[in-house]
Amino acid sequence: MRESTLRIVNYGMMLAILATLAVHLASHAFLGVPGYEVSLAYDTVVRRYREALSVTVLAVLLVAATFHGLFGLRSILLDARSGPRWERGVGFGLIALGVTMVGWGLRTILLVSAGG
Amino acid sequence: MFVELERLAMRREPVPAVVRAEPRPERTVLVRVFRGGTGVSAPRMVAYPVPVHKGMTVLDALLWIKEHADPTLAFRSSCRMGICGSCGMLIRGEARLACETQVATLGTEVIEVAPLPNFPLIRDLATDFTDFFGHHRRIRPHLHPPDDQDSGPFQEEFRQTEAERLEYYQFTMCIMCGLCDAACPIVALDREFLGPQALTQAYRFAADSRDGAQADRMRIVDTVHGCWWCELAGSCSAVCPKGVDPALATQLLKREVLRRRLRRS
Amino acid sequence: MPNPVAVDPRTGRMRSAVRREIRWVFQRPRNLERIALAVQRISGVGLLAYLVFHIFVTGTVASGRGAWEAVMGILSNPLAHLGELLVVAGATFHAVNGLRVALLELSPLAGRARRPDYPYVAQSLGRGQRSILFAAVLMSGLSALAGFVILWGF
Repeated sequence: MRESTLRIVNYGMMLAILATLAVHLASHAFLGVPGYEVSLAYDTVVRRYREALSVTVLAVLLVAATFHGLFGLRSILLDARSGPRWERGVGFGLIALGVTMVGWGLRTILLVSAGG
Repeated sequence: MFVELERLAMRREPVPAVVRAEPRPERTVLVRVFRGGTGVSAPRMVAYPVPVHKGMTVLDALLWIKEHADPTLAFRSSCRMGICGSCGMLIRGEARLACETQVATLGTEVIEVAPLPNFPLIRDLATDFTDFFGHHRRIRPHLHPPDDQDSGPFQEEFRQTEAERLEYYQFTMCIMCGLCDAACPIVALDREFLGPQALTQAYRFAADSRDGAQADRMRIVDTVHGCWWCELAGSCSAVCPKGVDPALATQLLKREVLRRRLRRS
Repeated sequence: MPNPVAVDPRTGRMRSAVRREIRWVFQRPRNLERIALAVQRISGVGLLAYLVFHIFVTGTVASGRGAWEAVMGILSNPLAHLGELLVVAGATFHAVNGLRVALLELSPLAGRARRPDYPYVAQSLGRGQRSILFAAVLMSGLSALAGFVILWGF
């Protein structure tokens, strides 16, 4: 895959993070809740996971932030050493970590939203 | 008159000041120079008191040291006028051309001179430019005829408007002094990175309307350790002595790469 | 002694990756954009570490009310709140500075090629992108202040 393809995807993820993170932070400060403490209450959190819009924002933020974060880490790791074996190893390692992070987050979303 | 001078020289009397070539020194500064290299001697800083006069450059000071104090001092220089790019070195911690740095403007009585960072050291102030020139060659730094040009001799000149020329003219000012690569943090971390100088020249040819190898050049820079490895530290443009602005060239190159990708898709 | 970042002059060998990653920050020229890159990298790694932590902490909500309230109890202390403030401030700087970088890469904010006349002025280090960098620092401070007000109230 060309490097520019990954960069184009990364630009998309950056835009997605900007939009969804703003909503996520607002939802813990004032959006739909009287304050921060209430936004962290169990009932509020579970209610959020069962609202379609809210859970979509969380899922998009999860995928976008995971990709963007690991993509940045990839740059740092590939600066440290070079060579096809190291590049492949970093690629597979980060994909594995990313799948784990997104997988665990989606598991949480599915379990709580289905808990009905 | 020449007979008189000859008699003076034979009697070992001092030559009159009117025929002396060097200007009268005004003061003395201490020039601390990095000495040593792997397999030569242990690295250390050696201080040389150097008489300085108005208009004297750091290169003049190094030449004085070599002539009068220590002929073993190793450094590169050639034109003495900021066009050959040979005398790049760290002067008071910053990458500069020694011939373009006047002692008076440094405003200090102690001047530290060291080899350029990010380059393997040969000895004293001389560094190895093999990788640097290798990166430059990798981006195919010469004009290729357009694809529709057959292999025979050209039938007419390549026409180019002033506007087309200005698209790349700034980046032709590069003298390959290596200061940009020495200042770049990504070059410091990653030896495979093409570096600001090679990327600037890649854009110089990519933006040249006469060149026919844009696709090949895009493939070379659109890779790991290529143009996307630049993270806009901007230090390359901060140290460039010729106003080339390598950071600008690299961002323009990224845009060119994206423009071609999106046009093809 | 000089500061050759990549190569140790005593041995002629490349330094370790970690040493090089630390040394380049202190190498000159210490222009603002270089310092911004250092802060961008540090905040990026910090935010990634927080993201991993956050995904697994919020995962406890799937284990029921008891598990969730136990975790929230552990994290309701001044030190954790300070960590949250750092995360918010770091994320704000990272986002606004990242926007600056994206604009430099994709838009004419970086400048256009033009004839270099002495005294040379690097367009890529121009006032436009510098003002976005200052805005990043300012917004980071403001977001930390807002976070302080939200967490501790007035």
